[in-house]
Amino acid sequence: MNMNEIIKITDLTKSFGNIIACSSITLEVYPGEIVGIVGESGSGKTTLLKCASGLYKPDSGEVFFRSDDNYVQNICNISEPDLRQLMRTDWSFIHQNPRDGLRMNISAGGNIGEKLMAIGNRHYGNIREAAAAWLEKVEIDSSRIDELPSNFSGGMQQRLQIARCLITEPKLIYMDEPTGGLDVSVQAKILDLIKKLVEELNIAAVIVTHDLGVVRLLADRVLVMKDGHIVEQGITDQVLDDPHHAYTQLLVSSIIQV
Amino acid sequence: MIELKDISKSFRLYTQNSAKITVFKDVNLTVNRGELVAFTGKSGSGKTTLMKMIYGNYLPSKGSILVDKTDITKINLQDLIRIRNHKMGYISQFLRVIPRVSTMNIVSDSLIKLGSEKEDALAQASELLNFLDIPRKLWNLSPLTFSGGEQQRINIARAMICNYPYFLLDEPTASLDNKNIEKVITLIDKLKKNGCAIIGIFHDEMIRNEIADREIDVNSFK
Ligand SMILES: Nc1ncnc2c1ncn2[C@@H]1O[C@H](COP(=O)(O)OP(=O)(O)O)[C@@H](O)[C@H]1O
Ligand SMILES: Nc1ncnc2c1ncn2[C@@H]1O[C@H](COP(=O)(O)OP(=O)(O)O)[C@@H](O)[C@H]1O
Ligand SMILES: [Mg+2]
Ligand SMILES: [Mg+2]
Repeated sequence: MNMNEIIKITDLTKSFGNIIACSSITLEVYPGEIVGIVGESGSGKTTLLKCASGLYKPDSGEVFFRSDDNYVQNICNISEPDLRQLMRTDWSFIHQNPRDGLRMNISAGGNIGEKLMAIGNRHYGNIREAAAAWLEKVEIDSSRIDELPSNFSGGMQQRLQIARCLITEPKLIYMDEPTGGLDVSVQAKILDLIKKLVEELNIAAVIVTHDLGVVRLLADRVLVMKDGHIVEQGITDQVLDDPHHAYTQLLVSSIIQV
Repeated sequence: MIELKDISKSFRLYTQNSAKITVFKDVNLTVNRGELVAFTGKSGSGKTTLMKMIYGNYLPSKGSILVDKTDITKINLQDLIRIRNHKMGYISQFLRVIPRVSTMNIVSDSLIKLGSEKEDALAQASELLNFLDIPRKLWNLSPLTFSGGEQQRINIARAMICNYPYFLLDEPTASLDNKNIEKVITLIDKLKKNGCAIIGIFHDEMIRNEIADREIDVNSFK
């Protein structure tokens, strides 16, 4: 199978009991782009990201992922070891709650370094140096490299998780409300970091956020979700400036200004 | 060449009793390479709406918009993004940037994104910032704290550093003094000589007289 997209989701549905969290979702993401997903709480954004990244198995539908060598796999029906391998090397998932994405019982440096080790790095000195550099990139003083994450504030834990997820330069980054708990100045820095990484490495990112200001500055395209459906999508300025769906208009008109 | 064929546009406002605002009916318009067409008409008459449709920002309710014969209202998003990135510069009155990113990076990034070498992009950005009288001591700062006029010039620089064949200018000079307006006019003249097609909205009649090849009152499209 030939595809230009890095990920292609077709007709994906996922229910929990009688709640349909995602209903017939179709979505393609191309290398070099950042796709934003917005929508009210409970609209299925997290479920979609988790299905797209192999953390949940959808009830029906396909998720095709293309690796570097143009090898396309349907991650809904590959073996568990193959899926684990892709999760290690090809994409990463930044969770809304940093505790879901960190190992709380190992040091900050260990949290970052173990990701490098998982993709084959063995030189202790290099790994430590890279981990320290990434701490600085997310504005955590590298002198705190040996501290446990539980010593850190929520915002710092989130930045640590971001460093852990980005250090391996994955080809696809899933982010679930990654900047929610960050103060605005740090948030700006993280947005710039993500944008640069996507541009320089020609990778892709999918970001769930309720912050339309973040979407405006970061996302090339946006999807609007409501009740498990994508109700509107387009280039970011199309969706924010000329929304056609009643729900999107409500969303856009409810904020002060973006 | 940019061609608008039978363009109509209305907005349906669902949050306001589904009111329908019709701004245009059956607009037909052609803009050729090397000319500057100025949209005129009082505030609220639809100048910005028309320009945003040409950028693919607002979707027309009806009709087609051809950019070099490609109908941008019918293509997929990826192709529209590609056309924007390689062909169309859009400059509005307002500067939107990620906080804390330096002026120099903002301006040079436009070129780097199109594949220029970093050093080359930095050199061209310096030249343009110099020309637009942005003091060198500001280059490493974020423009978000700059004056309105400085922000407008950064906005102009980050777009005009690219040699797009099409430019859309929505009051790009609104808060500039005369000396800087002259500089922007010089840049626009240079674009025109290079065969660029430009659509502009300028409040100032003097500016229009100086650079517009044609004026179109958008009220004629009602
Ligand atoms: N693990 C789960 N078990 C049961 N219900 C779930 C689970 N995850 C999500 N849901 C339900 O699915 C719907 C979508 O949730 P979610 O994807 O978390 O939405 P969002 O991220 O947009 O807030 C909600 O009604 C939620 O209660
Ligand atoms: N995104 C929008 N949603 C709803 N109405 C809009 C939108 N943009 C413009 N309009 C309406 O279209 C009309 C023309 O506005 P605009 O194009 O901004 O005029 P101008 O640029 O000539 O001042 C106005 O009545 C305005 O309220
Ligand atoms: Mg969620
Ligand atoms: Mg206007």
